[in-house]
Amino acid sequence: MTRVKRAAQLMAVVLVTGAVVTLSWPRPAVDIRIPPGGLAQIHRSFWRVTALPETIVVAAGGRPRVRISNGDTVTHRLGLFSASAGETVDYTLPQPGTYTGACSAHPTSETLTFVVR
Amino acid sequence: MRHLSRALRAGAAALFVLAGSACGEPQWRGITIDPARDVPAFRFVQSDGDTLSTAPEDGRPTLVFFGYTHCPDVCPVTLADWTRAKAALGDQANRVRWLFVSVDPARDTPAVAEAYARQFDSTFVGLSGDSATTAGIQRAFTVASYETPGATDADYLVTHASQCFLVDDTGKLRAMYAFNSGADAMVADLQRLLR
Repeated sequence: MTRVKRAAQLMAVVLVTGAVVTLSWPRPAVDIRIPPGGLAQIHRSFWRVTALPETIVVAAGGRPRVRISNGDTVTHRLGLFSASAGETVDYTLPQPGTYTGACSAHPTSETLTFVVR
Repeated sequence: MRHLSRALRAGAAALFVLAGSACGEPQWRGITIDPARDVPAFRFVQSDGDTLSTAPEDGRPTLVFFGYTHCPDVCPVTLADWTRAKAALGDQANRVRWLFVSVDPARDTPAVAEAYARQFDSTFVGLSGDSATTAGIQRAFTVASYETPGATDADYLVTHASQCFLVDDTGKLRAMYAFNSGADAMVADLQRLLR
């Protein structure tokens, strides 16, 4: 019985540790994924996926990261950022500001703007 | 109870290690690129016939900016930021390679690009390649540019990416600096590489 109790306690600690790590692990402020075909999507918390807007507003707390995962077969530019085919890149933004550039993965616009504030 | 306490300590230690590994290396002041990207070398023929390679040189980081000499706004402002960065670096600036690469080789001959960069500082290097070299280096840095018609055929503007790039002495693209973000971040990151 003691052994079962110990195992249960250990399991509980592992589960709690796993949950804390999962919930507190630093995530990118913006997670952009480009599937084959080249139309980028934003993956938000709780598995929500939305189309790429023309302007993405990022909260400036800390140093926000923009992650681009390119699952397409060609290099894509998204504003100042880019990712080669198959590449995942993190861009860390240093300061509040507006970052605009050409976008090759947008459904309706040729430019993409990130506003950090 | 003793076992629970031991397990809790182990859990805390695991969290500490994981938190430590998540912190990573110190951050750059510019827009950080993670993982740093390898940039291939390109060769440009200069006005005197010599060839300049962008291949990395030991101990010498490189700042790269793409522009054109007819640019009315972004290019002069960026190269003025470079002059401020160079002044702030003092003697260390001599180890930095400052490369201005033309995205308008039709109008910017090597001599024109060299003279334009030298207007700002005698150590700034203006480069203008043939169309294949220009397209290749723009692709390597994923820099977009396209012509916008002007009043006459020869008077066109070129819309181009406005950030400049920091490449370390192993040829890895480490950071970028958005247009008009000033010289401070550039100076801090260059000083880090020049240590």
